[in-house]
Amino acid sequence: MFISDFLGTVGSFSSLPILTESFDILQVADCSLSKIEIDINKQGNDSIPVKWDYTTILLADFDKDLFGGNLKYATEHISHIKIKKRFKNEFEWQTIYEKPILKDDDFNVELYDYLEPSNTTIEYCFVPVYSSTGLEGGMTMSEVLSEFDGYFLIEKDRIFRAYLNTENSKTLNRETTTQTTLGRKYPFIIANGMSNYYSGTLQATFLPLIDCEFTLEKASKYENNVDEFLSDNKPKILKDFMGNIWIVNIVNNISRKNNDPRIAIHSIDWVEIGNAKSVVDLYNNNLLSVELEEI
Amino acid sequence: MKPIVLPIKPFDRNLGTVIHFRWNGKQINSSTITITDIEQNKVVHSNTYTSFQNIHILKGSSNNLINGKVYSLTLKVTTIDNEISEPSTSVNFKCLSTPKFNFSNIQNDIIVENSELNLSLNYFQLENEKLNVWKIYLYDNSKTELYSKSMSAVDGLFSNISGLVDRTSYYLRATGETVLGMNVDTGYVKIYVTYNKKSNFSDLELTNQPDKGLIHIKTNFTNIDGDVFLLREPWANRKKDRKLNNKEISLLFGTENQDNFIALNGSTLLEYQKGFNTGKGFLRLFVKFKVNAMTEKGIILVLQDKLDNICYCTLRKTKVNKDSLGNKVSRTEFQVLLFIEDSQRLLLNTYYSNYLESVNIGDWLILKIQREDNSAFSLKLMKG
Repeated sequence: MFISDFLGTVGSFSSLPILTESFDILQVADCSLSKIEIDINKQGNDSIPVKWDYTTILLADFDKDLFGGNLKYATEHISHIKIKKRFKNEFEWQTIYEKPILKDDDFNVELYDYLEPSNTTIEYCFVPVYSSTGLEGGMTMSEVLSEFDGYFLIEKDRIFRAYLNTENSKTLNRETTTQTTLGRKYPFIIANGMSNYYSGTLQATFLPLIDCEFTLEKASKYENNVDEFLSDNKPKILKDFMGNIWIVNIVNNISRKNNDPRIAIHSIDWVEIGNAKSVVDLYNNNLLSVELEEI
Repeated sequence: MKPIVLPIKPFDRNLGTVIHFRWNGKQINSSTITITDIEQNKVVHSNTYTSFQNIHILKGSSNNLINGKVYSLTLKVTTIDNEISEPSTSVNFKCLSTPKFNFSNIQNDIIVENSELNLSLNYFQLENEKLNVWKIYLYDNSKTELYSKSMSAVDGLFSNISGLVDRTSYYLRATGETVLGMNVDTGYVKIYVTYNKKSNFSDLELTNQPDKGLIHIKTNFTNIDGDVFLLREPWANRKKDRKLNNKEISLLFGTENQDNFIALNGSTLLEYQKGFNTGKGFLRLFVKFKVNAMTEKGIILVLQDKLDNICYCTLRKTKVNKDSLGNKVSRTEFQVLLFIEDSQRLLLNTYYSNYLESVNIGDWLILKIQREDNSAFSLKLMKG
């Protein structure tokens, strides 16, 4: 129940210029204190917000601690943090990022994950690691549905997208031998070995994307960069909009044909060399930079 | 041979401009401009600028021009052999005050609770220069352009953006060009889209970026930890004696019904001084508390900045036996005392009294302090 309005209506008390300052110290004494909340929510009513949102500056509820942020750890108790990921409905987490904690700002990280297939729900979590015990603390989880447009060829620090004139034919390669015998109508199929991998040919046009629009102005230079990228003999991630993803090497010659003089269509032969959903394979092919104790 | 001055767009005399010209002779060493007031046919400014480039920088601070007037300019170049060219053909230009161009219904850091946003803009130019065309832009949180649309100012300064994705931050920006070619720009204005603000804020923000084939991962953590100090003497000068250790602090915590609390008295001070900053504009502060039964005193609350400017608020209870007309009453009044002081002096010291009905010692109260964008303060007291 609203009881009183000490200064009349909002804005009835004109302040002095100093009150436009940014306050960064808050002191309270002489009361039993159940909650403090500071925010910049102009649309809020007169009830105290109970959860953090984008407008919250400080929220303390004194549940046997004095924390006023949305992180319930003291910086000096945390040695480092990890970002992990997994596909939804899988159990095992894979660490994709680690960072030591030296100051409060170190808790905030921003990174890009290029290594996920399209059309997949991926869960990520943030985990602090206690410096005293080395144990991992409680997780903060969130999930996202990946939806990518086109084909992507990716190295650790480079990515090329092909969106136009795309076609990817692929073959699942298995080593089998057909053996016929004199006394038998049908042959024996001998399938020794474990080899089981995809290979294929990707046909696509690579064009630079500027301000969300493909441009032909620098297309030739861009295509040369693509050639240099494709011929550097380094393992790459190849993924498409359907959710397929492979670790591949580019093999054979890389050719271009031009139906339109300004637009080239690359023809790229590729062979799968690892499992793109395995952190170990990604690490071994220099596609993941984090040093992992799990590996 | 004479240089050719390229057309000069209108500019604010306070900001100055860069004058570009063409010159096909020997390498230039400097250029000299002469600016004439066309109405009075009088030279108002002359300046020599040394540069090997074909530009002449007209500084904003030192010229004698007046916004709203039309001038003509001629330019001569001096080569490295000290040969002075003929003056160029005169070029007319106009000085105009910088227009004001901003969103009228969107502020920085606003939260949008829908996938669609109606936009309106304000434009004002002191000398009545009209806006010709304008363009609205939407960027993602890495300032990559997602959408843009050009419009004529004749059709109004309104637009609409739809398809905003939940739990995503964007930047909005509008640019425009006046009839005489002056450019205007609102700058980047950050918006957060959260369809249901409270439930959708995420400490771990994930954004799918379809055209880049990646997931953008960002943590939104704020780490703020408080300290409790023992004061040398009850409150008066806030001089700290020592910081309480964790064991001593743990003795101050309690729970009543479902309310967790920390019990502070006039000699114990809770302080937050690291990890938060209110910013200079609008802010709300809520405190849920109850007064100490023993001391009959209320809360003491201080907001302070690094320059020792202080907003100091305290609540005290007094017993009132007569009202302002002298009639006999017996009731409890709460007085809110508000001090504003800097390190040198007390700037404001006033108090406000209010009769609070049905409030007893032991009741939870909520004090709300709100500062508007124009820095006007207001306070409210509510039952907790």
